[in-house]
Amino acid sequence: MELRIDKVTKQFKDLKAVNNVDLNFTQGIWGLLGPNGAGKTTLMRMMVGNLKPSKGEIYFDGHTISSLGDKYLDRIGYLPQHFGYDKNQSVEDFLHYIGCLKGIDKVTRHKRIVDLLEQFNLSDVKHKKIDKLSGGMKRRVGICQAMLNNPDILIVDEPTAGLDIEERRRFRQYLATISKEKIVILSTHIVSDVEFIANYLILMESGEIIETGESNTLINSIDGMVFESVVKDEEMNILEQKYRIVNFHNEGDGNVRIRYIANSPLKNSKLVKPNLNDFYLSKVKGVK
Amino acid sequence: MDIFVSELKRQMRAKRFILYILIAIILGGLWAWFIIGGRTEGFMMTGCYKELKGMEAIETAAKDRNIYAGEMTVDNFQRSCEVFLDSIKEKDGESDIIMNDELLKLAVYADTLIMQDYRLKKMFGDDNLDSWFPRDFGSHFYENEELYYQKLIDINTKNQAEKELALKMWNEVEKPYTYYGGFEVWRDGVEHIQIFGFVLLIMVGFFSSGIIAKDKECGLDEIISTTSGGRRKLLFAKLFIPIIMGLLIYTVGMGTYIGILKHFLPANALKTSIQVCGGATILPYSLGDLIGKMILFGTIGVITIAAFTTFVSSKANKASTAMSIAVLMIISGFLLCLKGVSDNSSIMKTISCILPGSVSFAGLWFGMVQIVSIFGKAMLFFKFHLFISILIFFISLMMTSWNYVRR
Repeated sequence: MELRIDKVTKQFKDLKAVNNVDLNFTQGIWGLLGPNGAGKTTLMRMMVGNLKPSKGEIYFDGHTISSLGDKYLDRIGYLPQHFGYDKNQSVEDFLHYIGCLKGIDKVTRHKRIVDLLEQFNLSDVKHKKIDKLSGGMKRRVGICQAMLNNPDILIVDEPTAGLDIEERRRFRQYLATISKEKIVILSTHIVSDVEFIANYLILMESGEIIETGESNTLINSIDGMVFESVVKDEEMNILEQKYRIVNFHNEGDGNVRIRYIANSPLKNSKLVKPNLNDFYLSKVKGVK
Repeated sequence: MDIFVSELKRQMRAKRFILYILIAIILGGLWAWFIIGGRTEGFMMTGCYKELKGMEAIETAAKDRNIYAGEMTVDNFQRSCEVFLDSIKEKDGESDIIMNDELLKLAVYADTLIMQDYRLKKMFGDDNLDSWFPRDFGSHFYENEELYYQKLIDINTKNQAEKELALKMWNEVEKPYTYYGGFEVWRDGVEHIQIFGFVLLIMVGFFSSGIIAKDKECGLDEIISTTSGGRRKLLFAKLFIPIIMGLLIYTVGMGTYIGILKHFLPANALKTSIQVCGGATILPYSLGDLIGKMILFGTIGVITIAAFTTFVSSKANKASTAMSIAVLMIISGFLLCLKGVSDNSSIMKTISCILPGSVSFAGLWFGMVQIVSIFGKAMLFFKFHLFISILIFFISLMMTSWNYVRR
């Protein structure tokens, strides 16, 4: 199973939202990382067929998704950034409605909904209106609707936006559970969302892919370049010009503990193990 | 079918459905109460029946007027002419009508004669509007009608085809005319079908405006369009649910209104010729025919506005935008029809025709001689309006389909 993005560009009037993107998705969880406005949502909307590329093609198992039509849509699940629902529908009614649109027969649909509600801890609220649920629960309903047709490709756009830490943790856990034998593409601008669950990472900025590869490989690529040091508060401005400071902590008495990326470290610096956040900040130019 | 039922359940969920239906019923009831309950009767400001209101006034007046009801013969016209002229007392240069029992019974005849006298004088440029008609005026009623309508047709037709059609219609008018007591209230009721229809159209516009735009507004459309059934399979439901709901609102609202009128008002008054009802017209209809046609226009208007608003909804990103456009169309259609009739302006009338839903007000084309020529072929204006509306209905359906399904 393979989803291939081949030299895809999307132009909106004067803006190139996605520029000449080449990607090859295989089984596993793919974290699509990038700042707001990087083009992640546009790319995802093209992958689900909601937008047509201005140039290039998207292939699923060797066929263009436009030629596959419904056959392709039958194999994808999509949770958009702004999960839309009819605020007057109950969780169960909503899932039946979407199931119906996905062409799932009544018996299968009913069984699938019962299973998903159970799996996502929503059985107790199935008769409640979606609008009355918490943000986390709404997102879970969102992922349920995407999972109704047991898709091979699951595309979720900023699924943790607006959730608290605990809900985000639970959501990551759900994604990890359902990702077996699927292509899961998860876009986010929150690095911690994909840090521990993504097998592969794609860094995107200004409509272009700036890095892509296996998570560990990418993170290891900056091994030996991440340091920690304690500096004086007044030195911060000069250091910020010179180094990519990825974190700092006020230690009191005018001292600041900084974590930074450099080829040649400051005196008294300690080499530390890099993490995804370090990698992300070292690559994304817009975040300085 | 599964998708249609799912969408139907979503759009017509209990609370919303009941609210629309209840509003339509309440409005229908209030409107009918306003027509019947507020009714007063009289004749030439003589103050007869002035103590009576509502059903009591309607029944009392109808009872008097039914003595000479049925075919309006020349003999009765002549008799009413004499009774009326005898009841006039001149005092200090002013005329006073002294009401008597016979005049009450012949009031419809006398009223019709007075109206005919006024129209003839206006038509033939007689400035002496204050003088009463001659004593044998009633015996020439149908001759004078012929004279008036011939002239009216001459003035209001632009070519031979129009003239022939107008004459054909006029010749089909049954003479002697017919009337039955209580027709005046029915006449008011019929006029209000259009105003009440206007309110119901707005309700239908409100319902239809959200059918697609609300999905886009809340983001649900993005999910719908990534499902294999998606918009294509939803199309039928999206096209026809507003029409079904529109018909339901109209049927319930107008049904309540007409039902109440029928329950309280005399049924035989619907046989009254529309020529007796005030305005001049060449159409060979009774009040009952008129109601049937008005309701047909209203129904076509409702399905047209439902289809058109659904199209706007498929284009707009917000339900409120679609709603504003639908309401603007309905109000413009109503005002342009009124203006077109009052100014007898062909441009206004034509523009009003192409506004979706305006066919609900096509009853306005029943007065005088409303005929249009298309490629030399004459056609009654309301039929032309009806044809344009049906065209708009199908175009709206096609454009919505194309707009909604394409990605």
